[in-house]
Amino acid sequence: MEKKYYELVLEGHYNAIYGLLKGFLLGKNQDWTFYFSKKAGIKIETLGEIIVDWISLKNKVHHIILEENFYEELKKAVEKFNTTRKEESKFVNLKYLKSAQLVKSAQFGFETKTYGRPYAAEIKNLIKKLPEGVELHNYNPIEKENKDAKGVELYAPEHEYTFEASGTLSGNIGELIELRKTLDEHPLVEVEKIQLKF
Amino acid sequence: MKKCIFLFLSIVMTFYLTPCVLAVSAGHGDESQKVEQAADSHAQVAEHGEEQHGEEAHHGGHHAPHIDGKTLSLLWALPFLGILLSIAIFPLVAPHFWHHHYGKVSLFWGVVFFIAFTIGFGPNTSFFYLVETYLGEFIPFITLLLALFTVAGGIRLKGELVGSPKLNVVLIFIGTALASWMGTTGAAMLMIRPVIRANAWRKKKVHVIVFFIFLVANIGGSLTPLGDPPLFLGFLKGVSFFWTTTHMLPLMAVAVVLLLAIFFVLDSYYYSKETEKPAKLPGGAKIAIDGKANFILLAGVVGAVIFSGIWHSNINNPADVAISAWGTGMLTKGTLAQVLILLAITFLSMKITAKETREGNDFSWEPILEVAKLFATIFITMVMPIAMLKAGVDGPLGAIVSQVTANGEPVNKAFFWATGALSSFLDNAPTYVVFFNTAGGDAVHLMGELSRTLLAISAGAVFMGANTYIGNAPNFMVKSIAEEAGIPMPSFFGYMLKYSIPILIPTFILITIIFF
Repeated sequence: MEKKYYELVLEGHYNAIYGLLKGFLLGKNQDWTFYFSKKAGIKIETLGEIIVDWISLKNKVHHIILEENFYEELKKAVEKFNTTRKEESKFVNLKYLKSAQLVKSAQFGFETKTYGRPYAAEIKNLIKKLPEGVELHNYNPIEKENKDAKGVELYAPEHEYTFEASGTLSGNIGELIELRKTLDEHPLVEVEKIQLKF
Repeated sequence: MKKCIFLFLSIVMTFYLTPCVLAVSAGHGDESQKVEQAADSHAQVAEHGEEQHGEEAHHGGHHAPHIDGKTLSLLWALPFLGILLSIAIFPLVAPHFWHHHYGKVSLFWGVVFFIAFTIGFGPNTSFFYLVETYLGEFIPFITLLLALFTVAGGIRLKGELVGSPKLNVVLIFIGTALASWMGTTGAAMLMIRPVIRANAWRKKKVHVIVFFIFLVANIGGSLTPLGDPPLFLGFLKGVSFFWTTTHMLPLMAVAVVLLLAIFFVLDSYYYSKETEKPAKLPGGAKIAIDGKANFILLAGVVGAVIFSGIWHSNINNPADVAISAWGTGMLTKGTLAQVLILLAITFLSMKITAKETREGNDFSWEPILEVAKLFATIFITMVMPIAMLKAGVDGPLGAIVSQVTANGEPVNKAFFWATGALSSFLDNAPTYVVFFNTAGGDAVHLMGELSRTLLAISAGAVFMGANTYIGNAPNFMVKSIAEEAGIPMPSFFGYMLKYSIPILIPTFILITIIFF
């Protein structure tokens, strides 16, 4: 069954939040995944958040994508903690959790252009091997050959071969984050930010 | 697009030629007078230039027609501007059209100008300038580029290297040093593929190619007339071979040291971010040079150019003249010998170089054909702006002249930046000639009292060709080769915003403070 993900919005220092989540995973002995949206290339910021981000020195708003199991367990643990260890709850408290929403779908656009056949083959290969649960839309690859343009030119340079394409990838957010990372690492692919739907 | 461009060019032709035709039908206008006035005033010019190699001196013959720039209409500069703007704009806005029709566009501007020139000034004057320009300037220019291109295309650096910051600095420095002796195009052609191969494993390598453009394709060509076409045009106009070397060396050294230091820091930063560094040579192929005999031919090219400057090189001395027409020396024996030696070197290089070496360099005649087709028009259309500039502040281009002079004295900073600004967007060779003439056009005077001005013009033309992709011909070539090797080169404006404005402009400001 396809994994479900939640987007949590937490306010606090990055290291504190990262430590909390990592510590929780270690304590639970689980390998659930989580992503800080900014690092994973997910479009998150509203104008208000950008302003808060700029003016605040310490505490910032962080959007985090968590696996459903992770989220449920974390929520339970924090609720329990707040009732049993009230003294310490000011440090780990749901009040820092601004929101939690189930991610229904996600998508991002990409475009690429290259003048070398081996690089076109690499990119085509990346797009061909899509992970399960990810779909490609509006894909329009264009391949051009210009035999006249062979060789070195100074004032009228044109390329003998051109491959360009753009498209949109959508589907499971977990798979999409990993795929976006792979595409982003290719120097000839430009990726847009991932857009979430709740 | 194609139809629109042709329609536009037809309209330009109609509007440009109509006034000339009307002037002729009304009984030959002012233009023929301008030739006569100039013939009278020419005696004054001849008195002034004892040892000139420049254009004025060419008109030393009694029967030579001469154009007086003072009374020319600015419209005469339109074809010159047209061809320069075509070279600058078409590759960006209509690359496919330009690739297939650049020769026709160049021919269009050349023909439009020459018809108008013939109608306006008479065939005697127009053909005099045609012969003088092509024999005295265009043929020596194109044969030098042909020889350098053929010889450099016959040398190939083989082997696999691992692109570390130190190695990249060494490779770029070698290319920079070679550029002054084999031309920026030749050095770029020789070094770009080894640099790309060495850095193939790296994710972040765009900056390597950009600094290669800065240094190998532009600034490296500063030291000799072989390095960059503007400096060779200066040499043809009488600037001595080693004046360029000795005077440009301090400026070039500052620019190269500074840019290589910036490059090293930047490259070290990106290198540290690479996660998979190759431990040893991938493939293990050893470094080797193919076509070594071409280095001897390269020395021959250098020798031929130096020789032409010292042996029978005075166009005003009848004993030195090899070809004359209209009672005027058109080509010296020295220059004729240079042309013949360069053609022989070209032929020899083709004969002795292995086919595989040239194939490895992707060698073809296309680049030299491009230069020939475009510069054939640039040289002839340049006649009018040069005449206008020689008229000084009273001439039709007096506004330009007064911008770079104060109380009749040249402002070197202004010359450096004005030559540089135009060289960034138009081809730097004609830009150099324009400002050379703005500064008086007398090579002897410019190498003497006005040596700082000539230095400013030379440095502006050579250095600032790196400011944009269109500033110098090899920039586009390097960009194109890098893109085919999978390197995502920045766009036209991306190159300027990310690299040339933040890195080159402060470097040039520093050079202005130190030297001008």
